[in-house]
Amino acid sequence: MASPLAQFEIKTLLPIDLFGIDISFTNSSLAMLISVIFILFFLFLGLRNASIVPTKKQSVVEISYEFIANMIGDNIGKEGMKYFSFIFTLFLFILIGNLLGMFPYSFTWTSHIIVTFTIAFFIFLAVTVIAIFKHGVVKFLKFFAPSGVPKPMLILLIPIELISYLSRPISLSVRLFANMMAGHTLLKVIGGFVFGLAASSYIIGGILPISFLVALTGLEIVIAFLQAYVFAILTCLYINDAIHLH
Amino acid sequence: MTRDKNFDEIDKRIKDLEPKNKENNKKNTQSNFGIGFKISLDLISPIIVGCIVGLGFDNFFSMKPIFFIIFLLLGVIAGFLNIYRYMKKLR
Repeated sequence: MASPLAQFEIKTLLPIDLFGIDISFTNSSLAMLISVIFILFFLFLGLRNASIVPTKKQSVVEISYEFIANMIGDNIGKEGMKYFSFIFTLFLFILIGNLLGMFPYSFTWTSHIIVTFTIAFFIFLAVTVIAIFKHGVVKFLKFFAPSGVPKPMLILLIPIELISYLSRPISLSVRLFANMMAGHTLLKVIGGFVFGLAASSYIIGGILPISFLVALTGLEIVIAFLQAYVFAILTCLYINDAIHLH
Repeated sequence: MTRDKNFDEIDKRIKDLEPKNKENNKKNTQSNFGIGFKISLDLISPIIVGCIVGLGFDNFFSMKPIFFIIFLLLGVIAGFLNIYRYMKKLR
């Protein structure tokens, strides 16, 4: 039987070598490409014959638009609408990536730490650049020194604040990656139980794990939505911190 | 007549359930599992960053354990500070 971790294996589909750097087209790239194509079709089909009274497809697109617009309005305020396209793209990309992993024999690209960390790191860089451009370097550095603290304490507090700021991309990326990887590994492990128990006890023993598996699949779909939402809302909070330095 | 009675009953039921529903809506914005996961990550990630920064400084200045220890401790403090702030917000 295949190991529960075999599903995360990266397979090269189309070897490409650019100046000694391996940028091969892998099954992970394929999954990302499929999710991008799916999003494009979803938006294109929904908005093809846009009318005032929305059709079913159009209303799904409008709901997702309003969902993100409300999230930005609640967490950043009106000046956050500039970043709408970024957060909308991010949310849909991660959501479709998570849901794509729920299809049997597909690949969950969000279950790789390097992918989620790259996304989180670029968000972190962007947020830092936004903060510096909006408020200047001096005011940005004051962000690390809480007001109303005696000066000797600042020697201790500034490194602590700095480390806590630098840990943002890690906590952002690990949250998504760990949830997706743990969930999919668990599904595979329980799936292994189904076959093993059913084979050793004339099928009766397989009923319990397979009912458990059904419940877990539902839970995993909820987690797919929840993690995409959490990723988007945390990005909102970081952008809010950058715009309104306190 | 029976119909009106039924409607009245349903109205009563809805009114009884409404405060419960509101409470649930407030509570279920983030699941307990989500909160636990967030807190544990907030505790661990500054420690990881502290370790990496400390080891980097150690390599740069070749003063093996000193910066690692300092930044590890700072990372632990930062982790606990994160949790402290989050718990303060929760209450």
